[in-house]
Amino acid sequence: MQVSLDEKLGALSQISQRKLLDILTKISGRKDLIIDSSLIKPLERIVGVSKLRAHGVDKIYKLEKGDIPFTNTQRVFFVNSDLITVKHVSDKINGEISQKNDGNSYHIILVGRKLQSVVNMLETEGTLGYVSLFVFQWELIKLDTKFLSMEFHSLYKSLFVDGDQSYLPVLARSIWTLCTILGRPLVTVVQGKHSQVIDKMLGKMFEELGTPNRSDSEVGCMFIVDRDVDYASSLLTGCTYSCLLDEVFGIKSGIVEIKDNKNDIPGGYFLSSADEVYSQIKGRHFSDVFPYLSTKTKELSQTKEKSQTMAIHEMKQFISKELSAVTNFKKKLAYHISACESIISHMGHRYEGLQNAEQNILESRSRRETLTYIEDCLSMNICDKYAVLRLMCLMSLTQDGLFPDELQRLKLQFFHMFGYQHLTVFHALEKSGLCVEQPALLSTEVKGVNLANKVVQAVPLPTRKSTFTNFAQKLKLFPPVGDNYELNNPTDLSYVFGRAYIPALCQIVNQICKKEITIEDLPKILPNCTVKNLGGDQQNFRTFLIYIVGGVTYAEISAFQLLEKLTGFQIVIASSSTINGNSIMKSFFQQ
Amino acid sequence: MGALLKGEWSNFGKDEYFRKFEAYSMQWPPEISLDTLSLTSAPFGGLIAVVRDRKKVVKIQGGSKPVLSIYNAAGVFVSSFVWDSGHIIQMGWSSGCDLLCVREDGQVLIYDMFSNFKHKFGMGKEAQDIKVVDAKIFCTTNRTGVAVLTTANTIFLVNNVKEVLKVRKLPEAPGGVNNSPSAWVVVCEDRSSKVLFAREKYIYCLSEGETHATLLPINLGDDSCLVKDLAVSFNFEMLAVLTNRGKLWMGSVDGTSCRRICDVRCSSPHHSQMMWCGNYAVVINWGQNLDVFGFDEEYISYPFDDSVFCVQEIDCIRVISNHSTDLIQKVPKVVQDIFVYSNSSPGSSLLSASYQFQKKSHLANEYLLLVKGNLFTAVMQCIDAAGHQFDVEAQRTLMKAAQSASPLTFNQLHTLTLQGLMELLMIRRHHFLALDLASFLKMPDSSKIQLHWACYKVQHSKEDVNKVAQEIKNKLGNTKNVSFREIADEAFACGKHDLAIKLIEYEPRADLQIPLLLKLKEHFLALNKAIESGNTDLVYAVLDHTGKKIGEADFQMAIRRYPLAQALYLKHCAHHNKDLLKDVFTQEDDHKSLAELSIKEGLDPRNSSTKDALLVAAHESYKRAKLDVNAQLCDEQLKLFKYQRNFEDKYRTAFTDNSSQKWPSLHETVKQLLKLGEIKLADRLRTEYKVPDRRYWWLRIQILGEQEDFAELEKFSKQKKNPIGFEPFVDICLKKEKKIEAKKYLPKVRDELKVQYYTKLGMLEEAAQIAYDRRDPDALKMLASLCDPILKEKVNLYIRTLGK
Repeated sequence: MQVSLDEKLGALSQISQRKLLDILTKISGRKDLIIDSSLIKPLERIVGVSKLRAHGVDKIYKLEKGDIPFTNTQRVFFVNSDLITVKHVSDKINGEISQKNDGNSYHIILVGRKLQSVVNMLETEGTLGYVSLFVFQWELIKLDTKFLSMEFHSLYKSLFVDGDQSYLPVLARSIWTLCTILGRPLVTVVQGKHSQVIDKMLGKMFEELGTPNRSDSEVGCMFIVDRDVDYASSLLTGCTYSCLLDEVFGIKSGIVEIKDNKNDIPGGYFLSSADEVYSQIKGRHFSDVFPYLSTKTKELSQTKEKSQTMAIHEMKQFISKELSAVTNFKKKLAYHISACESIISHMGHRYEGLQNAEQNILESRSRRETLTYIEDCLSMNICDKYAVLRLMCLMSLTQDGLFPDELQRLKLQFFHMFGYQHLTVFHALEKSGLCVEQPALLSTEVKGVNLANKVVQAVPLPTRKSTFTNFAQKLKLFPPVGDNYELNNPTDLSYVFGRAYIPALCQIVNQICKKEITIEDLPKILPNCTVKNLGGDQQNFRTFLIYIVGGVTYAEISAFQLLEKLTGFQIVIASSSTINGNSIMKSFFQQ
Repeated sequence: MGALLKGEWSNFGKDEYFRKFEAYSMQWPPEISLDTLSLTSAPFGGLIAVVRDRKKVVKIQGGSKPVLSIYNAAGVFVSSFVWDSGHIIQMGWSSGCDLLCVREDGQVLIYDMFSNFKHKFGMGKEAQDIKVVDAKIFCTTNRTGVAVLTTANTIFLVNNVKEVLKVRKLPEAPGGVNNSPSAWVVVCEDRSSKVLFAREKYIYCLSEGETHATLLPINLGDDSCLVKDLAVSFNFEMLAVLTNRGKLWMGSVDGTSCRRICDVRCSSPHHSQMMWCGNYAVVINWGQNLDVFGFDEEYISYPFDDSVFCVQEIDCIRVISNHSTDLIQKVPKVVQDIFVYSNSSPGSSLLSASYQFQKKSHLANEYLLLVKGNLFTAVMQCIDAAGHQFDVEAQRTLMKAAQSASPLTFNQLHTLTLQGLMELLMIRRHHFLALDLASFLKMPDSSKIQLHWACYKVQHSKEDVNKVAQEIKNKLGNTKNVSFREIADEAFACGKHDLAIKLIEYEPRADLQIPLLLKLKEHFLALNKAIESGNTDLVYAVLDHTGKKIGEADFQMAIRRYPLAQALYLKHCAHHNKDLLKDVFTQEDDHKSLAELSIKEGLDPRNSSTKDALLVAAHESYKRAKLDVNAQLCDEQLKLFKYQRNFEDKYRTAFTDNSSQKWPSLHETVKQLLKLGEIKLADRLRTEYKVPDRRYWWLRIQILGEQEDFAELEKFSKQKKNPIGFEPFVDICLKKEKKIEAKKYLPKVRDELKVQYYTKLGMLEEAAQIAYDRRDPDALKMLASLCDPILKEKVNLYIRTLGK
């Protein structure tokens, strides 16, 4: 029997599960499991509670500041391998030991890598002798059909804000495992400085750990790219249902929690294609979601009506076979409807203005209007500080930086609004190149220069295009303007951004599929890009693997999924995590 | 044919044979004469150390210091050195081909076969004080030991010269300190050793760990004889005893079983050597004559032209003379079986079949028929026999016979012992031979040989560093499993730092490269490697090590060239040591970062009392960084702090917040003032900080709305120069669910927003009217979906009208 690509990807979770359970088996006997709160969701994705119970886990606690009750003498900490968390654990253990050391034994499962600095710290703290250390790293987690993620939500910050590449070996390892399942790709496209490092490590792993057989490779072409190749896609506000769910509530490990003053729905909700409602609406333009849901609701009420006029034997049939399905369906429908309402109450008042501003920024027009909009956002609390910064960054990105006086003005208002301490945030943004000042054309030492600069700014130069515009035009990222475009039946990928922009990576794959460009052209199009060909015939490629280092957006996922539908190619999307403009901005605040 | 091979066989008893054949003709240099020299040879056909024999009278040539020369088994000169450190009591070879020289003071000096001094150790204080008179060097396959006899007739023993853990003193033999032994030998057991000590007619066993000597129950059949010599077989199982009356006793080493007692015909007054040949015969060397004694009356005598020197091997003896080296041994059973005429062993038949086959004779088939059932045995016999033959022609004949049956190779049989052979070849620097052999025999780890070669090369090469490194790289570059780190380690151990650096370059694994580079004090090379590897853990390791070694200041200067390292270092400092971070920034003249650091520190709730000072520092740093705008911002914040504190004193409510990582913003302060009704103060702040009008209006609307002061709100709306429009007024009223208040502002709402705001207030009919007036079909459509049926009709009518 032919095993589908998606089913093969299911093996990843089994590998992760096995790795974890093997560790738990080594810690024999009944034990308490104490989990770092950021790891709860990924853990849920990897292994169910019943499996944990079967491997001796008795009570499960969240790692918190306060005391954690004892139920067993064996305590297993499941934590991120970073100094701060492990120090916390170490303090806890030291505290418990000094209180009552009646033969408790401690184990720490470090997620990620066993960093020397962590071990050193445990040694200085004097805890090392009391604990046994294990290292665990899950493989890529399958969050949806052909969509995999490592769920490292802090990776963007460490790579692009701090320049810390500690986690790259783990990413390289995840690609290696993926290749053992799917086969080594025939062509590899590597873009960006972090991806280049990963590719180097990957090469070494193929050498040292083994190379999968090439003849049965499932993947024609693999892309390993850095997030910064297309910042626009992560700064823009996506318009599909999944984008907005992520935008408003934040989806972590494919689990969403609706937090809203009006209809707070406690507990996480698993978003997956198994949910027939979600799978229908996840990629739809938001304007098309409500109509769909209301149609379904009507259908449901019709079924209900029908059931009231049923004969007895029909009724029996209905109750035994359909009722539970209907109830289930109703639950899901209700959930998504309230999610929609919540999204509207969060975004509705500013959605139109935002869309308009984004579109203007992308097309470098109506600059003054845009600036006014951003200032209004600040002065009238239209959106939070992250959304403001997003627009500023988008503007800087598309126009090669903001003019000094514009930036100064916006910054000042930002500080008045949110405090001067955010000076450092702008430093960091500037360092990363996300929000920069356009260099003045004339140096400030000349007399009357300010006026001259202003004049220069005011006069548009029709020939001059920003780097971004050039890039976008080369790849045709702005869709052709056409009438009769229905967002509920999209025919090109730009619908994810309300017809304003096509995510660059999706467009590249699209153009390759359509043979408008070849893979060999890519180094000329993308910065810092190399292509490695193991001798595959590009004509026969049916499958692409896209690995984005630093995070993938739900807009990109929706666009890739549409692309699959339109072209018939198979596209596997993998990334270090999901990401959106807000989370990128937040990374610059956590310093 | 068989007769040819049996040519030099002599009968030894009934069914057995001894054979003697020349292994090498010696290449001794002309000055060598065994008569005047003392020889020491290593087992396994090994090296020969030659030194002038003091006991033999000789005309002294050259200087008075003796020269110690080392030759290989064929008498080819290998190396030599002048011995100038005291009297050598005894020399001997270790199983690893090292030459051990025992001195009078109990020091044991170890040289390798190339005359390089390796190291030395002593046999203990006591041995040193009372002088050593005799010594024995003994080997098993895996260790080499030394035993010394002192002037006080005590024996000290070291079990393994490779790890001299303890010098053991053996129990004393009865008879007092003045009664020296007439002979003594060392017997090795598994891990320990004991000594057989002969005095008069008694042989005592001295075991380490025991307090008393035990007497061996050996009956020499003659009460008045004296033991003259003892010999132990190679495997330490058999013992031979020779008395002054020419009696030879052969038996087990514990003396419990006697295999033979016989009289020896003395061809000269003194024998020079007695030893075992295998463990089946004893050989006595009378100088120019060797007598061989078996267990059952067998006896052979081999005469030689001049003096010979014998070496005991595992299954034979080697006889070294001025001209040749001969081997004497019992003909192995398999060889005998095959070659002895009229023997009907399968191997023999197979051999015959092979002969006949080569002659293309039909007899071949008949011989094969004889073998048929025992084909495997036959093949094994032939191969085994080939292994025992030294003549290539004979081996070939036998192998051919074996091959005519099946392709079985010699190595399958002998791999295990071949490993040992390889080791020896390596030690003797026959790397190329070893490598060839290994690749011919398809032995698994030829890398070991290459590694050994490379290490040797590193130790001894005096050539240009680049050349050596390149040569090693060329030879080993493509070999898997060769660790360049080990080679580089060796270079480091020899003090050849430059070479080590070159070599470690070839090591592909950074985690192996780095420790050595750090040892070599190549901190920055190590750093580079760590960075290239992408392994931040390694980078940290190097940073940690380097920072401690060269001092933080120099280090900070130096890592500027390595952006990743610097980033990591700064991150590290940010977590652990803020002062260090400041140092770096100061050194870097990175005033911007210094300013940032000050701000961040100021945000720390623990520093709330010094936050003003920190901000002043930030201000200064920004000034230095020529970021005047930012400096000004710091000033603004400082002023704000002052305001906030003043207000706090004045109004007794919190304007500042010392508990969280946040400074209350200007807007929060203004808001607070507005809430308190301090409009004038708020206005003052607004002007001073140039708060945009829209923002200020919006704030006022919000606060008035919050306070439900709708009269004041209305008054405010009538102020001139409204920069914000009237929509926020409607919004805030709606938020407070005051429709009537909201309606007041509706007419002033901008025209394009009117439909929307009327709709918000639920005034759908008015909204529809406005939409119609504005000729806006989209707005009407939107309205249609919200209306009740009656109104819907009207709206639809509007739509249709507009559509026309």
